[in-house]
Amino acid sequence: MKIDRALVTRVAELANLKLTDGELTHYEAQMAKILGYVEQLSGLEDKLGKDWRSDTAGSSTPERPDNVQPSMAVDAVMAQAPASSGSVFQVPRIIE
Amino acid sequence: MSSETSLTPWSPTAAGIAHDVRAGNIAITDVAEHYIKRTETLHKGLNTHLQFDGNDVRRQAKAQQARLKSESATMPLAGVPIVVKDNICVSGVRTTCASKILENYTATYDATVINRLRAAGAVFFGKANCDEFAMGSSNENSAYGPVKNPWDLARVPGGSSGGSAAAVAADLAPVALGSDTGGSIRQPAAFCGIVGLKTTYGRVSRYGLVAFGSSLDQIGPMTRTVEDSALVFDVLAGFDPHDSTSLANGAAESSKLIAKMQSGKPDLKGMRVGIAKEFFEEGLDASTAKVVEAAIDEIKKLGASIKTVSLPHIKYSVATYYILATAEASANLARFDGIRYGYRAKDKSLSLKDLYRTTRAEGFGREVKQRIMLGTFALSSGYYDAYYAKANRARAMIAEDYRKAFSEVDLLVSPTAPTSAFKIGEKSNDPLAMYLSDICTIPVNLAGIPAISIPCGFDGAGLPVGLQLMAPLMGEEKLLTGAYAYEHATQWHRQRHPKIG
Repeated sequence: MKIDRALVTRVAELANLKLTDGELTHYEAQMAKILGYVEQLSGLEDKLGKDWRSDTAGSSTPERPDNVQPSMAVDAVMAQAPASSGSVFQVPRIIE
Repeated sequence: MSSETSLTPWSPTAAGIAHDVRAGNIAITDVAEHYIKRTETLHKGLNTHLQFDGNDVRRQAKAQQARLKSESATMPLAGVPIVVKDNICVSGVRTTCASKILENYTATYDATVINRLRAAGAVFFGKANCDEFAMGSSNENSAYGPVKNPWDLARVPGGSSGGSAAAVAADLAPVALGSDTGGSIRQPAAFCGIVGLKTTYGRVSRYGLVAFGSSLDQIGPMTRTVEDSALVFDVLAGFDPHDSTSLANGAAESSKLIAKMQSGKPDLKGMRVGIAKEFFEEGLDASTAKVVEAAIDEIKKLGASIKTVSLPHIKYSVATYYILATAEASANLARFDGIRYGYRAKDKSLSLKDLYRTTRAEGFGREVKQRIMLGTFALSSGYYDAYYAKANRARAMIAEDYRKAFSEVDLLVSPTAPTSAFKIGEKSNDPLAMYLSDICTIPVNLAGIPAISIPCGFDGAGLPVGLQLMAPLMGEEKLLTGAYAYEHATQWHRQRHPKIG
């Protein structure tokens, strides 16, 4: 698996991380090393059978009755906001 | 009943404190004053705490004391000081996860474990330093500085629950809460010479634990004794409707079993103990191996039968973990974007997209960004099948190895870590070397089984070594009673570093 600058740049974009050139160089080297180690998984003989699926192998998602339950107090939540107006979070303009 | 019932300047236990408080021998407020003084004297030098407010502790102690007259019977942890890892939400208290991105975040709700412990009479003694977002094995990834191991201040306490482990080892509190995703309770417990329990996945609620790897994370107790571990475990365990992964039948009564063992001379007669040969292969430090082998001899002397077993897929554990845990982390940490809480990048001219990207680049530390990158890669189009899907299958094979082994034995033993505590800075530039220090603990999280680390001696450098016991799913009672028998016979937990005041 070849880890190159183009791949690391793409991954950083998907991860919503604005990295400097120095950081991209650093992570390119680190990811190459770690993924080089992880490559051993390609040699793993699969004993599960082709019908095995991770999404059906475990228990099903539990459910609860569809009753209204209390939510968090709005004031407490808004008190944490870096920028807000009333009960609305303020963000940079999206549509010009 | 614990023999350590008086509040001496060292080694009182949670069981001892709760007993003395409920018997009226000591007031909760007096217990609190002792530990407040000790914490205020020592925590800065060790960097164990990110939050500590003596006046808040006094207020809590008063409130618990007031409950005692009428509610003592429902307070098994009456007056017990508990330090809380800073990735667990305590309402009204700053919860940073040792990250800059949450430097100013105050939790708006209590984690379920906090509610349970408070109801049981506990007094919370601040928030413990840890690796940022629980990602690390040395507590060197905290945005607020590393924690120092009380046994040797130039060495790491282990991670990610390093602050919790160091606080208990230094007697700043008899109990701390940690969280364990790949060994983050057990490995620092081993490095600091204390007891650390990771429960069966789903047995302790994750509601209020800031998620790192949701299919792997578990909150657990870090204590000086196995009895205390059982006491706290009984309070923590049980179904929580707020956590959809919470087990319906998870409640526990392990401390009753320990109490029964205290009246006689506990042994391990009839217990079948397995040694997985893969844990004793290359990478294990010779001095650590010697201590662990002596511990296994002691287990034999206690009447257990020892059998060699094989876990053939264990060698894929670290590779599997660093795909699955990082994939889950990349999803869990996507919420930290500077919009609703936490750090926001200061530049007002940024577009929304650049606000997210700059906030996250500035707010997260190096190791966290690395893991987000790895996880994002593993889940991305074109790589998902070869990495994430493959790792999921490897995980199922590792879990099956344990199921097969437990059809032949009751418990498995191994070293908790391949070495004792390393020096601060020794592995911080080599991520792979750091990741491999969790080689004995990671497979346990992948399989979801419970495991405990208990002190089992000291290596050639005089540093604590931990013995890991593992049990099948829901096997905590077997785990704790086995650990208790060993602890009772060897008394390693009573050793303290002479420099701790």
